[in-house]
Amino acid sequence: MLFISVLKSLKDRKLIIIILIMIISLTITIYNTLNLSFDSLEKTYNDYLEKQNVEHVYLSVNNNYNDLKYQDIDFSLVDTSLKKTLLNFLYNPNTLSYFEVEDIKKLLDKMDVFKTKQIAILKSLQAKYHFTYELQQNKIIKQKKNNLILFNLKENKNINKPKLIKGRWPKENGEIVADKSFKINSTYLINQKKYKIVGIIYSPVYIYPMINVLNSLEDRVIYLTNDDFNLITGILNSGFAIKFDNYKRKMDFNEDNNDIRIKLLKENNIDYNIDTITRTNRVNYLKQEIENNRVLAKYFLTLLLGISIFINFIMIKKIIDSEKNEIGNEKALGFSKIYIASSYLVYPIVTIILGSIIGLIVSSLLVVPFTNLYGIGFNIPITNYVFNFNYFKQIIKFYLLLPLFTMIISFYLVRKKSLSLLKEGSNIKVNILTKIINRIFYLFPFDYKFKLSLAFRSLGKLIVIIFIILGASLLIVFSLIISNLFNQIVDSSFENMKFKYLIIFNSSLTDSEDGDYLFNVTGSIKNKEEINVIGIDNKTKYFKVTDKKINQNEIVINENLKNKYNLKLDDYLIIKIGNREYKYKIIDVTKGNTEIYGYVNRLDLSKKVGYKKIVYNEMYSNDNKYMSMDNLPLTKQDKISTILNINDLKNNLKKQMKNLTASIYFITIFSLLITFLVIVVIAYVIIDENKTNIALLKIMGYSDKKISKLVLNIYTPFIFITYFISIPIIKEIIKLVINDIEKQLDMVFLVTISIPQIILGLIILLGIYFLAIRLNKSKLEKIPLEIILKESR
Amino acid sequence: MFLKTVDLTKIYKNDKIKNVVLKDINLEIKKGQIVVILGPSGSGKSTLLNMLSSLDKKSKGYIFYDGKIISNLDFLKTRFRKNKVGFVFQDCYLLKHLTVLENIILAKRLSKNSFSCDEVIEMVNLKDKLNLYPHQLSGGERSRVSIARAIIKNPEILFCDEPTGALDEENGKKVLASLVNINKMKKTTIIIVTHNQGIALIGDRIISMKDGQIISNRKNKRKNPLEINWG
Ligand SMILES: Nc1ncnc2c1ncn2[C@@H]1O[C@H](COP(=O)(O)OP(=O)(O)O)[C@@H](O)[C@H]1O
Ligand SMILES: [Mg+2]
Repeated sequence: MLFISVLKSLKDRKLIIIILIMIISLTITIYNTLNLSFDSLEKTYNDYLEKQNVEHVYLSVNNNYNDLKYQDIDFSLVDTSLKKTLLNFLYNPNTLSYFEVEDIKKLLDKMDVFKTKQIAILKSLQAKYHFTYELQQNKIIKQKKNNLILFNLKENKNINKPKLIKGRWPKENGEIVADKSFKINSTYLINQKKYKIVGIIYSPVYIYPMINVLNSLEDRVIYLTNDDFNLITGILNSGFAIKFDNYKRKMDFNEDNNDIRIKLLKENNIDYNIDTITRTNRVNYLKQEIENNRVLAKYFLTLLLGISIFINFIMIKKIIDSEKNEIGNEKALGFSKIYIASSYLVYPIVTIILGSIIGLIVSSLLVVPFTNLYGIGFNIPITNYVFNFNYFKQIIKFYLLLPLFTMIISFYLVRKKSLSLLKEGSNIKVNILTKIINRIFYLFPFDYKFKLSLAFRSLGKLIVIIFIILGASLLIVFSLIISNLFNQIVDSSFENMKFKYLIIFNSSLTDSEDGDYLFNVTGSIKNKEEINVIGIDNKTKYFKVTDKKINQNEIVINENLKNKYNLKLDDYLIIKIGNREYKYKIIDVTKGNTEIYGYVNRLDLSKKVGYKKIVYNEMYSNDNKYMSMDNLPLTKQDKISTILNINDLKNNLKKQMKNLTASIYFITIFSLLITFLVIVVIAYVIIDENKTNIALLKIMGYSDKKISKLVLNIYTPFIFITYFISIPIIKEIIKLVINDIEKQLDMVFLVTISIPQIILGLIILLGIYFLAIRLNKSKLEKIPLEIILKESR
Repeated sequence: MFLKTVDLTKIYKNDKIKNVVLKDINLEIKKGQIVVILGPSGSGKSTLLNMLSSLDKKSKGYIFYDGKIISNLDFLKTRFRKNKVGFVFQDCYLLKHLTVLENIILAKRLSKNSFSCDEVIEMVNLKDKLNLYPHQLSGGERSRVSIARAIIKNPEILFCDEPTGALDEENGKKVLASLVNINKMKKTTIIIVTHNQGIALIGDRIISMKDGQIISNRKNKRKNPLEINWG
């Protein structure tokens, strides 16, 4: 009986109930959609790796080719950075122009000699680690703004099989298949020779990205027939794709890797490299990206969920509060307490059920476009769209708090005597606060006293309104702060850099010109975390790390490193460089939110790495001759691996963060939508609470303007106050959450909100508020005054 | 004529069912009179009163006030209510968060030639209750506050919808006495709606209604409210 009457009362509160349902469904939608999109992407990814039989590691063997004299190198100290330099030298398309064809042939011959040795090495390793392998070569040709990566179709038969998505495979020489940046059935010129594109493929070793983050050249992938591949001239990159039978073996292999490497180096003068830069990263990046997105989504969606439940709860409390009269009546009629209290469960249950259904339907529709959107930056055919109830189950648990809360409030009300409920429903008690306020403002003009007593006479109602405003403010500030996070990262990473160009050399150099020199070496902390140890000079022009002088065995670490290991000034940090460990004293911390790095004394570092002189492999400069490689003399060009323009760097970092930012923007958009709804509720509640007052004042002859002044505007100061209070609150909450996110994502976020943003938030809040007030009021005006009064009885 | 209606009609449409609540009402009310509209519950008295006082919209017909048609424009209606009209309802509708005095001041501020608070409070006999809140008053006292609030603006016409409806005989008579008192002192035109035949006798004119139509409209010799038979 009572349940039916409560159900019927839903109709009278259409707006507020619909908004409750919408808030629940929006929250469920974003939570479900994002997580399911990540699931879909992950499933697609795993299936793809499985089907195309993608390598676990890529083993390439390099000779120790270096323009420094052999005697200059202390081989007991050979380290990863040197290895990197060698690699750069071999792969760098820019060096092509410097080599004569004869040189290239010699180089290739050398590589061939190695090939036979490599196979012998592989066979011996295979016995222990159980894997299959395939020789896979590619040739790189720099053509205009592209890096053409050419593969041999014959060599990619078992491992790293390309996936045909359009057209057919080549049947004869002169036919090629290429990635989706090419047009099918068109012809394409490589080294002046025409090829016909007969099919479009995805290359499983080029899942990410097409843009080379380091040099901004666009990688484009082409597969040629065996004959064509062998005929074409390009920088050859030769190696073995290895797929372990049991993925666990890979771990052992990795652990043994260093020992194997040193042994090979000593016995055969062969250095091999498990290539992570050009291949595995391109494969694993998507997985990493999904993981990162999951971390972000987990924390921010939980926060959003919390705020959403808080708002729902306050709104339901408001509804039940206004039912005091009914509860009093029902008690007087003799209904039992439990029966009355449980009848109000209709509100949370109906809203949760409808909200869930809508949320599930909408998210099932959104999973496809969201997954596709996340997949856009990657070269992978999206084959799986996952839909399950896992995430819904996660989230619905929290929503079950709502009925619980509802029971508690209604029990609290039902407990009271029916007479006092009836009285409370129709008359508001004079609380002490009102008396005090009346006394303090005794001499104030009537308008002030009117407003103050109106606001404070019904303290309970005022608190409810303030709480709903708080909910809306929290959401707005939340949206603003999180939408800031990634811009902040990019900006703060470049804050101290005044240079225009970063020149990365392909070997360690000693001569000098005008600029800041760096010696960048990869070391490790605790044998697992990679750290860039950067040797710098004490006087630098174009970037500033610290005011202190860095001496031998002293280090300035970046913020990210500091947070990751909870380091303090004067702590000691042990870093492994080459195969020795060094103890550095931390003397300062510098900003820097991505990666892990530290600055040390350049001369000291050069010695530690094994050089007898001070060396560098990077240089900062403002000299515009570095704008283009072509401005430089050939002798200079050959030493340069890459020139990075600072703007390119910024853009690349932004590009890398694109998917993370997408998640953030989705969450922001949904939380703004919810904010909008909440503000509409605030306006509705305020008008509803004051319906009778408005009608009475109108009947007495007060004008609309005056009524707005007397009744509606009294809440505006509370909006201001609550908004400004909510800024530090949500800031602290986000900081708390960010701490965890930082640890998982290897980044440092600055939780900030700028003054223009604060003002913007306030304008949004007030703008929607006044609009909603106006709409609600004009709806009220259509009802005859007498009816409003009758209803309020 | 002070207040006049021509073919005044009110139709409610609920779920496509037309409900004619008032049908072609023609009446004239003279200045300074007390007019009582009498009829059983549901006969359309309140509807008529709300129409006359511009609280509700009419479906058909005309209402003339001082020879002019009352406009449908909202702000003109507001001005009309502000300057000319006072209301007394059965349910009083006092502002809960204001004291007796404040409720009265709220109305006083609307008019330039209003009465003083003391004068009005004297008329309705509420001297001791000025600083109390509505819920601390008895039903009769609340009615008298609503009368004080209605007359302090010195309105030309006072509309009272069942002003004694929720009161016992003693309090009801006191309220009526206050109304007659005001009419005598200020020449305020007063229209009282009631279902109580006894009360009707305090008016100069009694209009009887049934099923949305006027069934009789007659002159009456006023009786002292304190001497009537309480129905
Ligand atoms: N808002 C409304 N919608 C539909 N019918 C109404 C409405 N208000 C009043 N009525 C109907 O109009 C008739 C007259 O009502 P009312 O004027 O309040 O009567 P009285 O005041 O004489 O008791 C009643 O039958 C009532 O049901
Ligand atoms: Mg009535």
